[in-house]
Amino acid sequence: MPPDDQPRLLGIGCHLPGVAVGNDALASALGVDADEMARATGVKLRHHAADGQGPSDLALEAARDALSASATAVGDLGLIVFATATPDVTFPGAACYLQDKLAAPTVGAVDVRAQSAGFLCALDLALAFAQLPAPGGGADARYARVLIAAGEVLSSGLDFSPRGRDMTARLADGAGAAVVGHGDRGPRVRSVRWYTDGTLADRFWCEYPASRQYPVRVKLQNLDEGRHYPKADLDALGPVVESRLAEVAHEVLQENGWYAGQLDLAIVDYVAPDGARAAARALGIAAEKTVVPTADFGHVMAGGLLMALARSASGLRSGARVLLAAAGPGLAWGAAALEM
Amino acid sequence: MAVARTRILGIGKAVPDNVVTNDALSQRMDTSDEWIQQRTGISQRHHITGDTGATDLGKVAAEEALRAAGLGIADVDLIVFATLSPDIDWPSCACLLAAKLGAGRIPAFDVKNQCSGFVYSLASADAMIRAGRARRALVVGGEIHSTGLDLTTRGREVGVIFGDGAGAVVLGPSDDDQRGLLSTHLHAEGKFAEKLWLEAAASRAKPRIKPADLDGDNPSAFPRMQGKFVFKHAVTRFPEVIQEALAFNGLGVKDLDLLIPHQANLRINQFVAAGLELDESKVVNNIERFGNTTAASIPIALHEAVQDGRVRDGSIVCLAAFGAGFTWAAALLRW
Repeated sequence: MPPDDQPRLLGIGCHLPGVAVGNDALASALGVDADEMARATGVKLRHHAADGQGPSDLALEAARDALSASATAVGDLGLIVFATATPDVTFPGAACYLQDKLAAPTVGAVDVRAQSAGFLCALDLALAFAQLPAPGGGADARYARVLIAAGEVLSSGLDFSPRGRDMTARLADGAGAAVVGHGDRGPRVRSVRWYTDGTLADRFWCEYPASRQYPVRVKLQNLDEGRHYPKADLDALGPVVESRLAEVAHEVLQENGWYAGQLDLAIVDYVAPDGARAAARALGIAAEKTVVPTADFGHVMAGGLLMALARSASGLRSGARVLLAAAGPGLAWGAAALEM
Repeated sequence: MAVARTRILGIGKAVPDNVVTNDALSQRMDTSDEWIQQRTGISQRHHITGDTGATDLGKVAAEEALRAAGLGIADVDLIVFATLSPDIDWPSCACLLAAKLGAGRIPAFDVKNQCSGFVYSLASADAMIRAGRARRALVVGGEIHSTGLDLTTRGREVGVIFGDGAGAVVLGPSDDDQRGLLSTHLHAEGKFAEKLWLEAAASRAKPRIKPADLDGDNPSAFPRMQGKFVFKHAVTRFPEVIQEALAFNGLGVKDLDLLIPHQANLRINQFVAAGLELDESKVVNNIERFGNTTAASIPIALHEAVQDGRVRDGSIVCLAAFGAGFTWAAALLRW
């Protein structure tokens, strides 16, 4: 497709709730020393939503920024796609809540679940709708503006005791939003590639509630045992994630005839910042051009890439080349190439 | 490469062997066969009898769909799984199913859109294929409701309605641009999210799930519904979106050969058919035997309609759904 026909992220936004929670604030509950926690996790701080705040509340703030930056009226939206693994309630999804909070028209609203590849999945889908042909020729006008939201409230599902220290120090809350469509501003999406490997599903997961458990999907015993908290075998996953991230990043660079040295920015998101940096290094991307969302505000699964992009975008020149890459539970991983 | 139109290349379904009749439910709660039939049209549903996930049923349905399409899992490069009752909290059912089918490394995601989840998933897969972002997709709707229902007198209003099941289709390029999926139409109205919902686990609450959610007078870990309110909106939105789909393609109700509505309540479907002046012979209803299987209801009903010869080459078929969200949607096909 000629570059001028490629849909863009016409406006983007990021929202981090409340005040930053430093390592000092968590260390004693988790039974660790704050400096040791910072060294072990590589996470400087994170944000936690208030009681009563779901991902739709965080996305609302981000979406208002994205709509305003793209000069899009809420009434012009044709579809809302929300990537999250932690919806406000079990059902309906966060997209329905966001639609109501935005006072959007009765267009489609859908939650997609692809964990840390959630934004890439939602982007892939939004681009597909934005590129749909109309029956009589041209683009299907119904999807001229698609709103993507991507975010999590993970903090309400974390174990704030020494048992939970591996995950609780690393997982965090936040949301990003983007308006996708054809236009003359915002980064062009040159390519998106993402994959899953479900054979690794139980290496990084949150098991309960589990509908597969007969006869009741969540029992008191499951809660007592803490099986409703996320768990990960990061030692086992590390090498796999580093090579998958490098592979998929290489794939999107190659599709565009780009090489790593030409990148103006690489945003690489994984729950372990060292793993993300190792993948960037393996690709030959300089450390000063690499942004690692987890280090800056914890791992927000679906939200991290878009949030970090929104925070960095204003500093980039027109034409700048940006790589996004993320990996997380599923295993799900992927990458995108953007031209600012 | 972008394609002009997609088509359902194969279809499959799976339900657990265990049939639970209204009389069997009457043994567990204060209800009766007559009460359930009168309000919902349901006489039985299927429930699992041991640890079984939506992806276990989904796998059986998907394998049948692939066989019917004459394809293998290696021919599929996208999995979309519609469910509100995933095997585990995360990662997605799509990931788990991909592993069970030996799919290798492909994009796979869950769509959580309740009763309209299958139509939304079909629309998503259709868009991905037509935009050249995927070649062939496995689209599955699967639910294990029975492990999340209050099957006591306290929960009877909702508990009697739902059943377990899965349906799957393989969606791919159509070799005839006049045949296949003609269009899809997606809607939602989040204002009514809490008229039909399942609150806990709820990320907005701290903690998102606690022992008290599992018990009490009105436990938040079980689905809750304002039945009359939902009914009223369903009988408005169903005809609206069906008419929208027909009009988009320059067709009218008279052109419709078969309506396959989501199976939430027989009375809703009868009301919708009467309002559209659509003969009952043109509406597929099987809720009597399966209850409401949410994201699985439409592919299960479509599977039966195909097997029974009610869908023939060239038939104009409308898939339509309304449910929690509220969300509603339609897909129009020329078979």
